[in-house]
Amino acid sequence: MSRISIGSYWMLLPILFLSLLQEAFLPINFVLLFFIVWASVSFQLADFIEKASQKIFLTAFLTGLIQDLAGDGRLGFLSLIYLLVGGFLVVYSRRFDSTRPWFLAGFIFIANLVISFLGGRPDLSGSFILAIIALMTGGFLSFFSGGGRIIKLKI
Amino acid sequence: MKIPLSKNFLFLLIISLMLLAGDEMRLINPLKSRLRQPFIDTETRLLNSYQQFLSQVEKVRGVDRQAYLELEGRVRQLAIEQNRLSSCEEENERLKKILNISRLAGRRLLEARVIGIVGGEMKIDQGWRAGVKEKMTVIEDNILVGQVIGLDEFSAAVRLVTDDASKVPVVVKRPGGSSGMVQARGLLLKENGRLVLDRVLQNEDIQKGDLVVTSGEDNWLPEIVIGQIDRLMGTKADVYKRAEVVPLIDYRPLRVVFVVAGEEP
Repeated sequence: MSRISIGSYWMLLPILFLSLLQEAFLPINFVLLFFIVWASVSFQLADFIEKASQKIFLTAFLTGLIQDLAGDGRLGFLSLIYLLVGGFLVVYSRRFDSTRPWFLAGFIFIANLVISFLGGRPDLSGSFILAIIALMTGGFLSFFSGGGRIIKLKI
Repeated sequence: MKIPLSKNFLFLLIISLMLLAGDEMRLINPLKSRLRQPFIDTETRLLNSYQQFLSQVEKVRGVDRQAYLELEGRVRQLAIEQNRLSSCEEENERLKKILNISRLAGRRLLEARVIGIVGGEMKIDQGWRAGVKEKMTVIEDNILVGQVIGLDEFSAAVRLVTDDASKVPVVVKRPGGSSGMVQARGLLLKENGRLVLDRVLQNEDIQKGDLVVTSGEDNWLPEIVIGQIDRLMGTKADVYKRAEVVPLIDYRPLRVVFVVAGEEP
């Protein structure tokens, strides 16, 4: 396993904060949204696929662990789910641009619906709201990247 | 094509599965409880700050929260008293004495702090270690809050009456009526964001202001007040009568609730 630089895992701080807010009163899974958007962007911007995917997997595992500890679910359950989400993103991102608004919206909608369904409380309205926010975030990202696809030589 | 999921992915996947299995078999409970405690404390503080923020916002909007809470408390007390009085009337002298003490007398009440309220679910800081069990009734000031639906060692999830999945068998009583007789039986559920009393037979008499009280079926404690009928819905042609019910308390600002545990030893 490659050496882990603490500085590159800064995103766990907002994830921790969002997890606590979510368990206290926020009814929408912003952690999932944050993780997927962060993972998509960091994968698109990465120079080395292997390194980026390792970072995404470890972040996915730790994000799930934090959310499991902040909530009252089974420890390891969300780690597993986030790893699978991260895995899918990595596989998809190798062939397509995962920051595209419609992909982000659809992916987050399905991911949140599956997570809430497995947690015993299917959350259709929450998934829909997340998808809309993801759509706007994707549009925002496209706007600032000039609307064109990022073409990089992936190693 | 080479599958890009590395050894790291599989390693973390296996760790997650092991954690899940360990949790399922309660092998890692002591460690999990120790790790969760700071999260629970922080969540409680965050919720308190959020509730304070909400009350500040209401103050700015011109709502005198204190006066509102006092009035709400008095209405609540009156509703409880009315219900208790009407229940007493249907009993003989000996039973009256018992009912006058409290229908919860002899039961152990576990005090629990509210850690979080998300959607229709409340999280409290007492779990199976304190004696909480699934399906136990949770109250505040003799008014129904919900039922325990999930547990771990130091916390429990409570499904509020206002949750989408909540279904409470209830009876309807007329406050200050000639006797404590039951006006109607029905099912209290959530529909389009409102509490709705459903499955009331057309020949049963319900009206605005009637109290909605638990019937005691489906593991709910009997005679716990939930709310009052606010508006009758539907037409006489419907199979059942329906009515909109307003809960007697607002569940969002609650900080402490009581889990009704078993009989006192």
